[in-house]
Amino acid sequence: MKHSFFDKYSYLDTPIHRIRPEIKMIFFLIFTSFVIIFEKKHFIFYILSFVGVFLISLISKVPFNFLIKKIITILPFVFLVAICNFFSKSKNISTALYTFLNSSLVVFLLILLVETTKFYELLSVLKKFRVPKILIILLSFIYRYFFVLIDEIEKTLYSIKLRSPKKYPNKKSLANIVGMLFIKSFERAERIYYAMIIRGFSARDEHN
Amino acid sequence: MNIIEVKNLTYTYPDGTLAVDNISFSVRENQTLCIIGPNGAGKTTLLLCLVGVLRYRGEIKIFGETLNYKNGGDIRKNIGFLFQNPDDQLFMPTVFEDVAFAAKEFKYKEEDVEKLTNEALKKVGLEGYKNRLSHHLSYGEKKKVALASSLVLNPKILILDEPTSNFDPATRREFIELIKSLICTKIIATHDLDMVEKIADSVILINNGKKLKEAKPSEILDDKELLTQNRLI
Ligand SMILES: Nc1ncnc2c1ncn2[C@@H]1O[C@H](COP(=O)(O)OP(=O)(O)O)[C@@H](O)[C@H]1O
Ligand SMILES: [Mg+2]
Repeated sequence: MKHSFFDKYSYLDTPIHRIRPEIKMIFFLIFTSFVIIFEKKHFIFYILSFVGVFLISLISKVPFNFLIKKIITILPFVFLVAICNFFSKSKNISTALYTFLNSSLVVFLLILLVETTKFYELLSVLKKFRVPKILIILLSFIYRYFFVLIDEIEKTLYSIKLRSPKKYPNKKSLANIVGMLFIKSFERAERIYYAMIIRGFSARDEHN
Repeated sequence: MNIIEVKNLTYTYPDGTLAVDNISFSVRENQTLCIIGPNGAGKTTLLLCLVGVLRYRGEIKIFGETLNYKNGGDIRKNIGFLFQNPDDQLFMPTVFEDVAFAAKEFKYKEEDVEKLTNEALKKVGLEGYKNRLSHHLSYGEKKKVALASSLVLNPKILILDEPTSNFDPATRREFIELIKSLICTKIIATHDLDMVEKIADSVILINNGKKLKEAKPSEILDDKELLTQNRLI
């Protein structure tokens, strides 16, 4: 099966892809902190930043409409944050707008970071930054088994299609299917844990 | 010399299923023991007991030392284990990270990790695969990477759970040759009788968690009645 909807552009070879992952990561962290700390910035800053995002996407050959597509799936959440902010803190339209712009900017850059860096390179940077081992292993698991889970869901959907006249299962069997996916995942987790301790894993030591 | 000695091994799952029932056997150095039995016979459970990840009753001695839940770590350094489903075993993003995992966990120096990993990949014929992603590999490749990941510390004992299931015929033959070429003590759970004939020094037949017969391969493979009774032909 094809698995490339997650980081499908991270294997391209462009100037942006070739920048060392450490540098990209540090830039991302500094930029994000800046955006968060100074909540309201001049509108020129936003114009420049979004032009910057556009340029990066152009140079790195990550299509701009791919970025837009991704951001649209996240937008509702960003919007929710802005709304919450509006009702809880300021009741001020411009603050909500700033929250919205800041969050979108950070999300844009995050997507660009992931799409221009191989996932295992990002992990090795985290390791260099002394992020605890258990967290890094957790992240590799999420990445690795995300694809396995998608496979499993896909297979289940096929087998439903083959055995039912309707395109989608009814609510009751859907509940069963989700439940089965949980149990399968749980049992798989147990076997993976065995595979880890057989190969000497111990969660106690922090770094390796 | 007996490298593995198992006495009255019993394991019951938390839900009450008696999966391994009072099994005893022993294996000598560099011998290959095949454990055959139909689906659900208790093969996988038995193998997991042998590496001490399940809390069994009875006694297991490996290199003369009693294996239990606590001292397992040191003994496991000398045991390689191949899971039936490679997706259970390959949990890191890249092939290199997966194969290197045990070497890193057992605190080998960085250059040794690199060297051992390269050697293990070479053994399975996947030298160029270091930076490939595990989830982009074919089933056969995954299985070979999984084998490399259990060979990385050059274990004295290799435990394989249905190593030939799901292969196409040619890949299956290659894989059997590969396993055959490795020099170490092997315990293989399978219902692939053709492989048993090619590879085994001795065979144990189990069903419903019980050991029914232990014999030379030819003796068990010729007993068609016994094999039919136990759903193996
Ligand atoms: N996690 C589990 N919980 C309860 N029963 C199990 C579990 N895993 C396996 N069993 C049961 O234990 C028995 C032996 O299973 P297994 O060792 O997987 O057999 P085999 O590998 O020979 O096919 C079967 O009856 C199976 O249903
Ligand atoms: Mg099994």
